[in-house]
Amino acid sequence: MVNNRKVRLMTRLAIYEEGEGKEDIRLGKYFRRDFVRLQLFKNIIAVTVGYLLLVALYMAYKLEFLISEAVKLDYAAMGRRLLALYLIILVVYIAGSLVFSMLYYNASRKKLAKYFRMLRLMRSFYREESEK
Amino acid sequence: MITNFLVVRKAVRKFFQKYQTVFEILFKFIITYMAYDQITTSLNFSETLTKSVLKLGVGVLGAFVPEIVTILILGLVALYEVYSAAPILALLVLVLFIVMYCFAARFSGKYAYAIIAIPILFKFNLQYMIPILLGLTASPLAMFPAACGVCFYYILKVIVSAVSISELENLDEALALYIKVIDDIISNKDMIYTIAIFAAVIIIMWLIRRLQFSFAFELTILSGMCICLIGHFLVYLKLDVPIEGVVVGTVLSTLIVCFVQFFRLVLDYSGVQSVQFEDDDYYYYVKAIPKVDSEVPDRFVKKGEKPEKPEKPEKPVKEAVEEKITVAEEKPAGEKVDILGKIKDFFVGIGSGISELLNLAHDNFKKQNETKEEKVTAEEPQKKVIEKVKPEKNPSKLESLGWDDDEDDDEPINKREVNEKTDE
Repeated sequence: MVNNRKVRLMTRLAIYEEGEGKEDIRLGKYFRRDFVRLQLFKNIIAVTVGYLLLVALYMAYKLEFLISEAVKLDYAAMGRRLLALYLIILVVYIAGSLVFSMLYYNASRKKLAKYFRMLRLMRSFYREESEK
Repeated sequence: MITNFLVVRKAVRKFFQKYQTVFEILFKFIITYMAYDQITTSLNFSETLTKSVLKLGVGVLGAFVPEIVTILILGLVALYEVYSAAPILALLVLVLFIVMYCFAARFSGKYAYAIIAIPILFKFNLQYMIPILLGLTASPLAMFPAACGVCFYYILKVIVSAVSISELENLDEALALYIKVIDDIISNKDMIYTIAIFAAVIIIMWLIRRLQFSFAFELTILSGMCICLIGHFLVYLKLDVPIEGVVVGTVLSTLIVCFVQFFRLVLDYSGVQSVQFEDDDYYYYVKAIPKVDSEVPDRFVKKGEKPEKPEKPEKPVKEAVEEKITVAEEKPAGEKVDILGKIKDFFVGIGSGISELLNLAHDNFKKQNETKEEKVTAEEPQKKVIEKVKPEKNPSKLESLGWDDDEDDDEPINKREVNEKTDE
């Protein structure tokens, strides 16, 4: 005999696993701290690469000036300004990725909790059947 | 009239849900094809990329790959176009794309299509639709793909204007072109203000949408439109940019978004229910607004008693028919057909029928004032007559649908009570 409730539950589980559950199950393998650290690490690398490219673009833009004033330039001051700007951009992106990755992880965890509850209900169905 | 719209809406939603996969593929194909066409038409530096076979091929490819891959393909197409005009500009465009990805496009997620939708909609002056739609449906992170879309459009515009003016013969000229393009991009205040306005629209709409009051979605759309108009009006005051197109585009975009929202979600604010309940951990204050979709029936069935039709007694009808037959029989076959007489008889017959109907109506009126028992005894034989003359079609259809008036009378108004009863 087909148990309709069990079939309905299994269908809902399958739909979740095929859809948004893929990302949630993948995140479920991480602790929150590890996931946030991973996102921070990725953002730091992306911001650093992007910033270096921007600096390269700016240097190519000001190439004529740099070549003509190469001897007179205060490289220390320039370096300090570039570093300060880099740190400001990095802090903004770190703060943003901290907040959003924590919120994203928490939301994913809530959906996973619901998924696990449905799995426990499935397990109780199997137990009932085995007892019969 | 509104119910008719809701029925149409339900039918359209069912149709789209049934063929969802097909429509998704079609949508992706159309957007990829249009984006490719827009890039090759606006840049137009390479003849090989303008071939229709390539357009179709890229469109078909875009229909089956993820969004980020589609954007990568279109980015490569734009890069090739620019490379055909000036290799140094292709390097600049490549670096700018990587910078945009590192700082913004990485956070697009499922809204990556906004990056290619905005340049397409700029052509039709409907680019304002994207931030209003994203503000209604997405999180504030959606401002990143919107900003990337605006940047993509303006960078290509600047490159087109720069390449058309200058000619590259040596490295100095190439460098001069590069500097000119950077200057134009940095000094393009229209681009910066557009990005700022789109970001403001998305964030403010998101904040308003989250508030718990009636007509929140409608007010959100209205607020998005107002912010867009106010922002562009300030830009107009500062930069002296023409505003007529902006007003028309914003209003049209808002109407399209309202249309989309109608198909997405319709709430019945007259049926708001505020309930309170508790469980082991929390005490809940819940405001439930019913969706209109669930109240619209699949088929239209008029409830309530049907008005009693005037019952035609057999005798007067038969008598009229017999009169007609006797009148027809009285005329001998060999005589000429009197047309005028026939017409006269026809109108006499109609007149007699009308007078009989009036008599019947008068009799019915009298009968309504009589007692119930007399009505039942009087109606029963007449009902049988009616069934013989005109069998009712609708009751059989209702029965086949499982419609039962008795059940409907007993159904409680509050569905939650029903759920509680079933749980008990």
